[in-house]
Amino acid sequence: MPRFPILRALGLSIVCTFAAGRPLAAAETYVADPVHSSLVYRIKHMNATYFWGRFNSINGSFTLDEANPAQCQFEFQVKADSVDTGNAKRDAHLKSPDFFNVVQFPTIAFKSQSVTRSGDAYEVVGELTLHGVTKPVTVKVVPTGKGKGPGGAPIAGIEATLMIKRTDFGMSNMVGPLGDEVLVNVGIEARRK
Amino acid sequence: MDPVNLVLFVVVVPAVVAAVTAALGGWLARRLGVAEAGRAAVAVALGAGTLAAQFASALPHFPPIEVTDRIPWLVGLLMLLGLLESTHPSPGWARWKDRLLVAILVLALVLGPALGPDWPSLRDLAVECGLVLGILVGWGSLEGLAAHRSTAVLGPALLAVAGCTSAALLLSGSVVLGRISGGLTAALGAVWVLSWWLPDQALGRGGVSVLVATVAALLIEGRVYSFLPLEAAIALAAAPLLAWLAFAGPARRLASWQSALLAAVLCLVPAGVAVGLALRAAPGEYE
Repeated sequence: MPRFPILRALGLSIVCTFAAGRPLAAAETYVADPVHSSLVYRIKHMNATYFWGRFNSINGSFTLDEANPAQCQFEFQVKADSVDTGNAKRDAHLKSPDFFNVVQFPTIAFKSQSVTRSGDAYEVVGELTLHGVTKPVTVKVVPTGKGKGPGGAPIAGIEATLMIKRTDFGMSNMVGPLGDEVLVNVGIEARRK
Repeated sequence: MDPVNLVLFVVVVPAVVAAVTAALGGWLARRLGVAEAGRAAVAVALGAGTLAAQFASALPHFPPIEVTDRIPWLVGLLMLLGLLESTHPSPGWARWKDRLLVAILVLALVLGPALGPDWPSLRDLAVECGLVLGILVGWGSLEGLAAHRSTAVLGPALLAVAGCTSAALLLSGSVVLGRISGGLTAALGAVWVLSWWLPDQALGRGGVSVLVATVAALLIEGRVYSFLPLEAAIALAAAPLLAWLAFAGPARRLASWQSALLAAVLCLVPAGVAVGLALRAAPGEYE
């Protein structure tokens, strides 16, 4: 029967940590900086080319835990009314009931449910609520960097990519002239909480 | 927007559906000895043409996801109401009660998803009471006109208003609302042409119900969820009232075709202004 078993276990864990070459990172939670965060999407027009649009108002937060990816969490909210394609007439059409119906469905939201590590990225399964319909989606999230912000506060960035079918979310008008598949790319810069 | 597709699915298909429904429905109803068979057929035909345009645009979701998915349910109910109004005429007070209930239902279906957490504020209630009153005034006015004038005479004026409603909705950001309204216009056109040969195919007590409540729902949706200017919506809603001027005072002595033309021109003035307002508010062009 060893004496002081707790001290031995503690010593073993310290040895293992240093042997791995780095300290175990604790979970860190970050809150999005809307000014340096963006959501852009790509959709095919007339089966000829892709054009891009963006949403100008995005908020959210994420928790990174390198040691335990299952503890990572990601969520973001987008104001549907902030859709911007560089053409006022098209933006008005996108805000109408033909597409996003921003009066009835003002928010687009994503919340992670499970996270697994996949190389340098995370594979995140979560629920996306778009156009009043909530569906499970899989998002690839890549941590893009860490550093210090202009005020010296710790910051981190992620890039999330997902492909959805707009008809899955009840946006079924004008499928044909406009494609069904939409590639969504979210870049979030966030300040540590 | 492909013009061939637009003409086919917004004009031709709804018009054919409405014409076939009105002709066959009227014939069948007469065979079955249904009183006011022509009026019943018109109510069903207007609804069928409207639904054809919406279904050709995109199938509505079931259960409804968004406000536009609720329009077919409203139209279906109006077809049923129109059918009952024509085949089982009820006393005046009962008709007004039905109109009041339908007006409230229109608001509940169309405005319901847009109501904020602070509803009902006094301002909300005032606006909603005003809308109900507006629908009732428009409904009563059109029923009055349809009771005294044939569909052949009244048709051009109503076609002018319905066509301008479609154009204004198209310009205000929603192609789908414009297409549904276009389908209603095409159906009305088909009924009007049929009424030249079948005078019993009248709009009153049946068809007017479908027409008024559907247009009201589309205008309110266009205003609240899209970008239809308020002044344009009011001008379109008020336009049919001007048709009375074509049948009053010295205009009473005009021949039928002259009255029809005058009513159409009078209605076209505010309806055309509404299209102009929608065009001015539209932020530009894109394809």
